[in-house]
Amino acid sequence: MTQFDSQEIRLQDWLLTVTDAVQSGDDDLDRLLGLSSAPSTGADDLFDLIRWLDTSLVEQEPSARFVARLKQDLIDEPEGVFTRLRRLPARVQIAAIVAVVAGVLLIVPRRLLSLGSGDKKATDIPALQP
Amino acid sequence: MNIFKKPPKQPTYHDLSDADLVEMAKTDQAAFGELYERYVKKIYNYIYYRTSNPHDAEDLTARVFYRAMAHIETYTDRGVPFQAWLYRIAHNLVANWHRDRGRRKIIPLDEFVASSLRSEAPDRQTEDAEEREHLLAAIRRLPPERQQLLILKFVEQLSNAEIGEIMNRTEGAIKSLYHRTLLSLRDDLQNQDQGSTTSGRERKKVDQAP
Repeated sequence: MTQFDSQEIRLQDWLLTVTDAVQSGDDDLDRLLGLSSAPSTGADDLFDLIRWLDTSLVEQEPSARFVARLKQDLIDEPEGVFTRLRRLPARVQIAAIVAVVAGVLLIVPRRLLSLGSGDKKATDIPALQP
Repeated sequence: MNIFKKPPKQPTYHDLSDADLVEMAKTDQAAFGELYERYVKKIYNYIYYRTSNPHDAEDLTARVFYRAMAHIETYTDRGVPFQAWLYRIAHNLVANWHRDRGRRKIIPLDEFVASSLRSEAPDRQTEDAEEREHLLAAIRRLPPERQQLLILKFVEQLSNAEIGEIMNRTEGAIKSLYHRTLLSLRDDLQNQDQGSTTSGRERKKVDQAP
Protein backbone atom coordinates (compact mmCIF):
# COMPACT_ATOMS: atom_id res chain seq x y z
CA MET A 1 0.00 0.00 0.00
CA THR A 2 1.42 3.37 -1.01
CA GLN A 3 1.51 6.40 1.23
CA PHE A 4 -1.13 8.00 -1.01
CA ASP A 5 -3.47 5.01 -0.54
CA SER A 6 -3.06 5.05 3.23
CA GLN A 7 -3.74 8.81 3.34
CA GLU A 8 -6.86 8.28 1.24
CA ILE A 9 -8.14 5.53 3.54
CA ARG A 10 -7.52 7.73 6.57
CA LEU A 11 -9.46 10.54 4.91
CA GLN A 12 -12.33 8.16 4.11
CA ASP A 13 -12.44 7.10 7.76
CA TRP A 14 -12.36 10.68 8.95
CA LEU A 15 -15.20 11.68 6.63
CA LEU A 16 -17.36 8.89 7.99
CA THR A 17 -16.52 9.82 11.58
CA VAL A 18 -17.43 13.46 10.90
CA THR A 19 -20.65 12.46 9.14
CA ASP A 20 -21.73 10.24 12.02
CA ALA A 21 -20.85 12.99 14.51
CA VAL A 22 -22.76 15.69 12.63
CA GLN A 23 -25.78 13.45 12.19
CA SER A 24 -25.84 12.78 15.91
CA GLY A 25 -25.67 16.50 16.68
CA ASP A 26 -21.98 16.70 17.59
CA ASP A 27 -20.37 19.47 15.55
CA ASP A 28 -17.28 20.11 17.64
CA LEU A 29 -14.89 20.92 14.82
CA ASP A 30 -11.86 21.28 17.10
CA ARG A 31 -12.29 17.77 18.45
CA LEU A 32 -12.85 16.32 14.98
CA LEU A 33 -9.83 18.15 13.60
CA GLY A 34 -7.76 16.75 16.44
CA LEU A 35 -8.38 13.15 15.33
CA SER A 36 -5.32 11.42 13.93
CA SER A 37 -7.16 10.64 10.69
CA ALA A 38 -8.01 14.32 10.06
CA PRO A 39 -6.48 15.68 6.84
CA SER A 40 -3.84 18.36 7.20
CA THR A 41 -5.49 20.67 4.66
CA GLY A 42 -9.07 21.30 3.58
CA ALA A 43 -10.64 19.63 6.62
CA ASP A 44 -12.75 22.63 7.57
CA ASP A 45 -14.20 22.88 4.04
CA LEU A 46 -15.22 19.25 4.11
CA PHE A 47 -16.64 19.65 7.60
CA ASP A 48 -18.71 22.64 6.42
CA LEU A 49 -19.93 20.66 3.44
CA ILE A 50 -21.04 17.71 5.57
CA ARG A 51 -22.85 20.03 7.96
CA TRP A 52 -24.47 21.80 5.04
CA LEU A 53 -25.64 18.49 3.54
CA ASP A 54 -27.01 17.46 6.91
CA THR A 55 -29.13 20.59 7.25
CA SER A 56 -30.24 20.71 3.60
CA LEU A 57 -31.10 17.10 2.84
CA VAL A 58 -33.90 16.88 5.35
CA GLU A 59 -36.70 14.36 5.42
CA GLN A 60 -39.83 15.38 3.55
CA GLU A 61 -43.25 14.36 4.79
CA PRO A 62 -45.57 12.92 2.15
CA SER A 63 -49.15 14.16 2.49
CA ALA A 64 -51.20 12.04 4.88
CA ARG A 65 -53.99 11.95 2.30
CA PHE A 66 -51.69 10.48 -0.32
CA VAL A 67 -50.32 7.84 2.07
CA ALA A 68 -53.79 6.79 3.21
CA ARG A 69 -55.29 6.75 -0.28
CA LEU A 70 -52.45 4.68 -1.72
CA LYS A 71 -52.72 2.15 1.07
CA GLN A 72 -56.43 1.85 0.45
CA ASP A 73 -55.83 1.41 -3.26
CA LEU A 74 -53.18 -1.22 -2.59
CA ILE A 75 -54.83 -3.44 -0.04
CA ASP A 76 -58.46 -2.55 0.50
CA GLU A 77 -59.92 -2.81 -2.95
CA PRO A 78 -61.42 -6.10 -4.14
CA GLU A 79 -59.09 -8.29 -6.17
CA GLY A 80 -60.94 -8.18 -9.46
CA VAL A 81 -59.62 -8.88 -12.91
CA PHE A 82 -59.42 -5.19 -13.73
CA THR A 83 -57.50 -4.47 -10.53
CA ARG A 84 -54.91 -7.11 -11.40
CA LEU A 85 -54.79 -5.89 -14.99
CA ARG A 86 -54.16 -2.33 -13.85
CA ARG A 87 -51.01 -3.37 -11.98
CA LEU A 88 -49.44 -4.97 -15.02
CA PRO A 89 -46.96 -3.08 -17.20
CA ALA A 90 -48.55 -1.01 -19.99
CA ARG A 91 -47.46 -3.30 -22.82
CA VAL A 92 -48.89 -6.34 -21.04
CA GLN A 93 -52.18 -4.47 -20.50
CA ILE A 94 -52.33 -3.64 -24.22
CA ALA A 95 -51.55 -7.25 -25.15
CA ALA A 96 -54.28 -8.49 -22.79
CA ILE A 97 -56.84 -6.09 -24.27
CA VAL A 98 -55.88 -7.07 -27.85
CA ALA A 99 -56.18 -10.76 -26.93
CA VAL A 100 -59.64 -10.24 -25.43
CA VAL A 101 -60.87 -8.22 -28.43
CA ALA A 102 -59.44 -10.77 -30.87
CA GLY A 103 -61.12 -13.58 -28.93
CA VAL A 104 -64.47 -11.81 -29.03
CA LEU A 105 -64.09 -11.15 -32.77
CA LEU A 106 -63.39 -14.84 -33.34
CA ILE A 107 -66.14 -16.22 -31.16
CA VAL A 108 -69.07 -13.87 -31.88
CA PRO A 109 -69.31 -14.44 -35.69
CA ARG A 110 -69.19 -18.23 -35.16
CA ARG A 111 -71.93 -18.03 -32.59
CA LEU A 112 -74.02 -15.86 -34.90
CA LEU A 113 -73.51 -18.32 -37.76
CA SER A 114 -74.35 -21.30 -35.58
CA LEU A 115 -77.55 -19.62 -34.33
CA GLY A 116 -79.05 -19.88 -37.83
CA SER A 117 -78.75 -23.68 -37.96
CA GLY A 118 -78.96 -24.19 -34.19
CA ASP A 119 -82.73 -24.93 -34.00
CA LYS A 120 -82.54 -27.80 -36.50
CA LYS A 121 -79.58 -29.44 -34.80
CA ALA A 122 -81.24 -29.20 -31.41
CA THR A 123 -84.15 -31.36 -32.54
CA ASP A 124 -81.73 -34.05 -33.74
CA ILE A 125 -80.43 -34.66 -30.23
CA PRO A 126 -82.51 -37.27 -28.37
CA ALA A 127 -83.84 -36.28 -24.98
CA LEU A 128 -81.98 -37.73 -22.04
CA GLN A 129 -83.91 -40.26 -20.01
CA PRO A 130 -83.94 -39.77 -16.25
CA MET B 1 -55.42 -29.01 31.62
CA ASN B 2 -55.09 -25.57 33.10
CA ILE B 3 -57.96 -23.52 31.75
CA PHE B 4 -56.66 -20.40 33.46
CA LYS B 5 -53.42 -20.49 31.59
CA LYS B 6 -53.25 -17.56 29.21
CA PRO B 7 -52.80 -18.49 25.58
CA PRO B 8 -49.47 -17.35 24.14
CA LYS B 9 -49.63 -13.83 22.81
CA GLN B 10 -49.96 -13.81 19.05
CA PRO B 11 -47.33 -11.57 17.42
CA THR B 12 -48.80 -8.58 15.65
CA TYR B 13 -47.61 -7.48 12.23
CA HIS B 14 -45.71 -4.71 13.95
CA ASP B 15 -43.52 -7.23 15.81
CA LEU B 16 -42.58 -9.24 12.75
CA SER B 17 -39.40 -8.88 10.74
CA ASP B 18 -39.45 -7.77 7.11
CA ALA B 19 -38.57 -11.31 5.99
CA ASP B 20 -41.55 -12.79 7.88
CA LEU B 21 -43.89 -10.12 6.58
CA VAL B 22 -42.75 -10.69 3.00
CA GLU B 23 -43.56 -14.41 3.28
CA MET B 24 -46.99 -13.58 4.75
CA ALA B 25 -47.61 -10.85 2.19
CA LYS B 26 -47.58 -13.43 -0.58
CA THR B 27 -51.04 -14.51 0.60
CA ASP B 28 -52.03 -11.80 3.08
CA GLN B 29 -52.65 -8.24 1.95
CA ALA B 30 -52.59 -6.88 5.50
CA ALA B 31 -48.97 -8.04 5.83
CA PHE B 32 -48.13 -6.08 2.71
CA GLY B 33 -49.91 -3.12 4.33
CA GLU B 34 -47.47 -3.26 7.24
CA LEU B 35 -44.50 -3.33 4.86
CA TYR B 36 -46.04 -0.36 3.07
CA GLU B 37 -46.34 1.58 6.34
CA ARG B 38 -42.68 0.86 7.13
CA TYR B 39 -41.27 2.05 3.82
CA VAL B 40 -43.65 4.46 2.12
CA LYS B 41 -42.02 7.54 3.67
CA LYS B 42 -38.49 6.40 2.88
CA ILE B 43 -39.30 5.57 -0.72
CA TYR B 44 -41.20 8.85 -1.13
CA ASN B 45 -38.22 10.81 0.20
CA TYR B 46 -35.77 9.00 -2.05
CA ILE B 47 -37.91 9.71 -5.12
CA TYR B 48 -38.67 13.27 -4.02
CA TYR B 49 -34.99 14.21 -3.99
CA ARG B 50 -34.32 12.41 -7.27
CA THR B 51 -37.26 13.97 -9.13
CA SER B 52 -37.37 17.34 -7.36
CA ASN B 53 -41.12 17.66 -7.10
CA PRO B 54 -43.82 16.18 -4.87
CA HIS B 55 -46.30 15.30 -7.61
CA ASP B 56 -43.92 13.04 -9.52
CA ALA B 57 -42.69 11.67 -6.19
CA GLU B 58 -46.24 10.61 -5.29
CA ASP B 59 -46.85 9.11 -8.71
CA LEU B 60 -43.60 7.12 -8.73
CA THR B 61 -44.00 6.05 -5.10
CA ALA B 62 -47.38 4.56 -5.97
CA ARG B 63 -45.82 2.75 -8.92
CA VAL B 64 -43.04 1.34 -6.73
CA PHE B 65 -45.55 -0.23 -4.36
CA TYR B 66 -47.84 -1.50 -7.11
CA ARG B 67 -44.85 -3.13 -8.75
CA ALA B 68 -43.64 -4.58 -5.43
CA MET B 69 -47.09 -5.97 -4.73
CA ALA B 70 -47.38 -7.49 -8.18
CA HIS B 71 -44.02 -9.23 -7.88
CA ILE B 72 -43.88 -10.09 -4.20
CA GLU B 73 -44.93 -13.69 -4.90
CA THR B 74 -41.73 -14.23 -6.86
CA TYR B 75 -39.47 -12.26 -4.49
CA THR B 76 -36.89 -14.30 -2.61
CA ASP B 77 -34.23 -12.84 -0.34
CA ARG B 78 -31.05 -13.85 -2.16
CA GLY B 79 -28.83 -11.46 -0.31
CA VAL B 80 -31.10 -8.55 -1.22
CA PRO B 81 -33.30 -7.58 1.74
CA PHE B 82 -36.80 -6.30 1.07
CA GLN B 83 -35.76 -2.71 1.79
CA ALA B 84 -32.95 -2.93 -0.80
CA TRP B 85 -35.34 -4.54 -3.29
CA LEU B 86 -37.81 -1.66 -2.90
CA TYR B 87 -35.06 0.95 -3.38
CA ARG B 88 -33.89 -0.85 -6.49
CA ILE B 89 -37.41 -0.73 -7.93
CA ALA B 90 -37.53 2.99 -7.08
CA HIS B 91 -34.10 3.56 -8.59
CA ASN B 92 -35.13 1.88 -11.86
CA LEU B 93 -38.39 3.81 -12.07
CA VAL B 94 -36.60 7.10 -11.42
CA ALA B 95 -34.01 6.26 -14.09
CA ASN B 96 -36.81 5.57 -16.57
CA TRP B 97 -38.53 8.78 -15.51
CA HIS B 98 -35.40 10.82 -16.24
CA ARG B 99 -34.84 9.00 -19.50
CA ASP B 100 -38.44 9.51 -20.67
CA ARG B 101 -38.57 13.15 -19.72
CA GLY B 102 -35.01 14.07 -20.60
CA ARG B 103 -35.06 16.85 -18.12
CA ARG B 104 -34.38 17.60 -14.50
CA LYS B 105 -36.66 20.07 -12.85
CA ILE B 106 -35.68 22.46 -10.11
CA ILE B 107 -37.03 21.78 -6.63
CA PRO B 108 -39.83 24.27 -5.98
CA LEU B 109 -38.33 26.40 -3.26
CA ASP B 110 -41.61 27.56 -1.80
CA GLU B 111 -42.64 24.01 -0.96
CA PHE B 112 -39.19 22.86 0.04
CA VAL B 113 -38.36 25.60 2.48
CA ALA B 114 -41.63 27.01 3.70
CA SER B 115 -42.42 24.30 6.21
CA SER B 116 -39.10 24.48 8.04
CA LEU B 117 -38.49 28.20 8.04
CA ARG B 118 -41.83 29.77 8.85
CA SER B 119 -40.73 31.02 12.22
CA GLU B 120 -37.64 32.81 10.95
CA ALA B 121 -37.25 36.29 9.57
CA PRO B 122 -38.07 36.77 5.87
CA ASP B 123 -34.52 37.82 4.96
CA ARG B 124 -33.08 34.78 6.67
CA GLN B 125 -35.61 32.55 4.90
CA THR B 126 -34.61 33.87 1.50
CA GLU B 127 -30.94 33.49 2.29
CA ASP B 128 -31.32 29.93 3.54
CA ALA B 129 -33.47 29.06 0.56
CA GLU B 130 -30.79 30.37 -1.78
CA GLU B 131 -28.15 28.35 0.02
CA ARG B 132 -30.18 25.19 -0.15
CA GLU B 133 -30.99 25.65 -3.79
CA HIS B 134 -27.30 26.28 -4.48
CA LEU B 135 -26.37 22.99 -2.83
CA LEU B 136 -29.24 21.00 -4.32
CA ALA B 137 -28.37 22.27 -7.79
CA ALA B 138 -24.80 21.06 -7.26
CA ILE B 139 -26.08 17.67 -6.08
CA ARG B 140 -28.24 17.40 -9.18
CA ARG B 141 -25.14 17.90 -11.32
CA LEU B 142 -23.60 14.75 -9.81
CA PRO B 143 -23.92 11.37 -11.54
CA PRO B 144 -27.10 9.50 -10.47
CA GLU B 145 -25.29 6.96 -8.28
CA ARG B 146 -23.65 9.76 -6.27
CA GLN B 147 -26.99 11.51 -5.84
CA GLN B 148 -28.43 8.21 -4.65
CA LEU B 149 -25.63 7.78 -2.14
CA LEU B 150 -26.10 11.26 -0.64
CA ILE B 151 -29.86 10.81 -0.32
CA LEU B 152 -29.50 7.43 1.36
CA LYS B 153 -26.78 8.78 3.65
CA PHE B 154 -28.34 12.08 4.72
CA VAL B 155 -32.09 11.81 4.18
CA GLU B 156 -32.53 8.15 5.07
CA GLN B 157 -29.49 8.09 7.39
CA LEU B 158 -28.63 4.53 6.38
CA SER B 159 -25.37 2.82 7.28
CA ASN B 160 -22.75 2.08 4.64
CA ALA B 161 -23.65 -1.61 4.85
CA GLU B 162 -27.33 -0.89 4.14
CA ILE B 163 -26.41 1.48 1.32
CA GLY B 164 -24.14 -1.22 -0.08
CA GLU B 165 -27.03 -3.70 -0.15
CA ILE B 166 -29.21 -1.22 -2.00
CA MET B 167 -26.55 -0.15 -4.48
CA ASN B 168 -25.14 -3.66 -4.90
CA ARG B 169 -21.64 -2.67 -3.76
CA THR B 170 -19.37 -3.59 -0.91
CA GLU B 171 -19.17 -1.46 2.22
CA GLY B 172 -15.61 -0.49 1.24
CA ALA B 173 -16.77 0.61 -2.19
CA ILE B 174 -19.46 2.81 -0.62
CA LYS B 175 -16.86 4.37 1.67
CA SER B 176 -14.67 5.17 -1.28
CA LEU B 177 -17.60 6.46 -3.37
CA TYR B 178 -18.71 8.72 -0.50
CA HIS B 179 -15.22 10.17 -0.25
CA ARG B 180 -15.04 10.86 -4.00
CA THR B 181 -18.57 12.28 -3.99
CA LEU B 182 -17.77 14.79 -1.25
CA LEU B 183 -14.56 15.88 -2.95
CA SER B 184 -16.22 16.39 -6.32
CA LEU B 185 -19.16 18.21 -4.72
CA ARG B 186 -16.77 20.49 -2.83
CA ASP B 187 -14.79 21.23 -6.01
CA ASP B 188 -17.96 21.94 -7.97
CA LEU B 189 -19.25 24.32 -5.28
CA GLN B 190 -15.89 26.09 -5.12
CA ASN B 191 -15.91 26.53 -8.89
CA GLN B 192 -19.42 27.95 -8.70
CA ASP B 193 -18.47 30.22 -5.81
CA GLN B 194 -15.49 31.66 -7.65
CA GLY B 195 -17.90 33.59 -9.88
CA SER B 196 -19.87 34.99 -6.99
CA THR B 197 -17.84 35.83 -3.90
CA THR B 198 -20.90 37.02 -2.06
CA SER B 199 -22.83 33.77 -2.31
CA GLY B 200 -25.21 32.81 0.45
CA ARG B 201 -22.72 30.38 1.90
CA GLU B 202 -20.02 33.01 2.18
CA ARG B 203 -22.49 35.31 3.84
CA LYS B 204 -23.45 32.60 6.28
CA LYS B 205 -19.84 32.08 7.27
CA VAL B 206 -19.50 35.81 7.93
CA ASP B 207 -22.71 35.82 9.95
CA GLN B 208 -21.51 32.93 12.07
CA ALA B 209 -18.08 34.41 12.77
CA PRO B 210 -17.62 35.58 16.39
